[in-house]
Amino acid sequence: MYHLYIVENPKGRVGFGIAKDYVERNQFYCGHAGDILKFPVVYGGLRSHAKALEKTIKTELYDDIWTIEKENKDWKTEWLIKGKNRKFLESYINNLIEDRHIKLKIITRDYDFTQE
Amino acid sequence: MSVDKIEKKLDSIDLKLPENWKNFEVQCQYIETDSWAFARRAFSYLNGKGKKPQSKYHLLRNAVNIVRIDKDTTDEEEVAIEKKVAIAENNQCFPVEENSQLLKYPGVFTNIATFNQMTDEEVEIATSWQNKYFHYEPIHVGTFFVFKNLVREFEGSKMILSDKLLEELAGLLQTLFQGMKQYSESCKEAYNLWYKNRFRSEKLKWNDDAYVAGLLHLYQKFGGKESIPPSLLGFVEDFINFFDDDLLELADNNPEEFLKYEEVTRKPNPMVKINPLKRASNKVVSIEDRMNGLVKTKAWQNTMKAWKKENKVFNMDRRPKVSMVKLGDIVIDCNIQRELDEKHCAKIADPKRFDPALMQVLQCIKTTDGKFISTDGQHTATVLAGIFYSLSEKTKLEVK
Repeated sequence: MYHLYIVENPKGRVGFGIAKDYVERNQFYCGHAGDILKFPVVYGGLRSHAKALEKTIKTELYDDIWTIEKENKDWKTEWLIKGKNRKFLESYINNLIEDRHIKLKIITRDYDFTQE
Repeated sequence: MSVDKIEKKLDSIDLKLPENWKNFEVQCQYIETDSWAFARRAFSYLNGKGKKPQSKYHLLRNAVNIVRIDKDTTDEEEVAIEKKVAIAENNQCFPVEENSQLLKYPGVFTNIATFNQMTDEEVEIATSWQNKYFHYEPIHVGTFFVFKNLVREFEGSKMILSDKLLEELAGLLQTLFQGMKQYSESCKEAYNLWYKNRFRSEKLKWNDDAYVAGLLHLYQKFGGKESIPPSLLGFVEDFINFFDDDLLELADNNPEEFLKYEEVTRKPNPMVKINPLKRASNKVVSIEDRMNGLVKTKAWQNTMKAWKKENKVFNMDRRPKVSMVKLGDIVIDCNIQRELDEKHCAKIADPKRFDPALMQVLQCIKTTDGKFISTDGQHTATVLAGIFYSLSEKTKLEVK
């Protein structure tokens, strides 16, 4: 099983990503941030569908993605701009899953690795 | 010299065709220098390095605008391009520039080179299929490769590309990959693994034919029964075994379920209203508008900071001069310019296209001994000399 997750930092900015091992991925986020970061929602299913959904988010939410300006080429992160909260992202993903028959299901909510 | 004076001077030039091509004067932009390093560098800059090349999209847009806005249908190639774009637009598919802000919209595509290689029929079938089944996402170039091969091979084999096959392929792409974009990525991953396994080589040679071959082999693995030309299946059939195991295992139980396409609710496509090729007009903007946009950007501000840091000044004396110079007075340095491409010259002089109004200003350096050495434009200069030589009463008899 492969996973697509929503991540939220302590200031409320939300992001997204895909991982085979979401437990380890959550540990990486926490290790970098020096704090516990929650995965408000983790979806599980086919790898190809998780990857396709991530691509769709990057395409359709192009204007809502937090971009870091760099000298030569701007860096599109996997975080949304401020003002786009977890409710917005979860609702957008859930609608996509339903409308486009994407084979992903919510497998856990409000996850962080300390729960293991 | 004022623009009026320059125009009057140009008007006063003898407009008769020269008897001797050497006496024909061309507009020449030059820098007075004896630096050959400058000449070599100038050639590099004028021929690519430091110059923003015109994209395939810009070439296509120009052709479409000439037909649509200017109503000029004298060029068959431009008319054909516009027709093909219209076919795509009719199916809510739209060419856009790479890195465009419009890439988020459904039906857009950027691979103009592949689009240009397709026939009208291939474009019609590919874009109508996209519009019917994947109307909610941009077109991946893999779609063009798949349909180019499908249409050609079905026609070549005198077989019918059935609606059922088209729908089942859409179903397969939807259920396994959520569309062509992810299929293409998965296909390349599988092909990479197959290639490494088969040839023990890390240097992958991707083959665009793998798009259609992988799709059709998967179609058969999932129980697809429609007839397919053998020529499309002869391509490295075992490479599909390198797709993800979790996908291939789905073929073990009720595989035909994965050929069923499920409807996706259609939403209005914003591109219908904002398509730049439909809304094009002879709109102009001032240099000031452009400059105001430019100076706000971080990239520009950083560049200007670097000017200050390096004490860079704009040296007015380094501006090039413009003069009319006789063709016979211009020399070409063989070490700076490329070999003359005679076929390219013949194309420039194609009577259907050749127009003196499109002549480019020659770029030269003028050395202290008064020589004009061409750094760019040898093809233009040679074509002009060739035309006058060939048309001249004195020399035309020599031209067979």
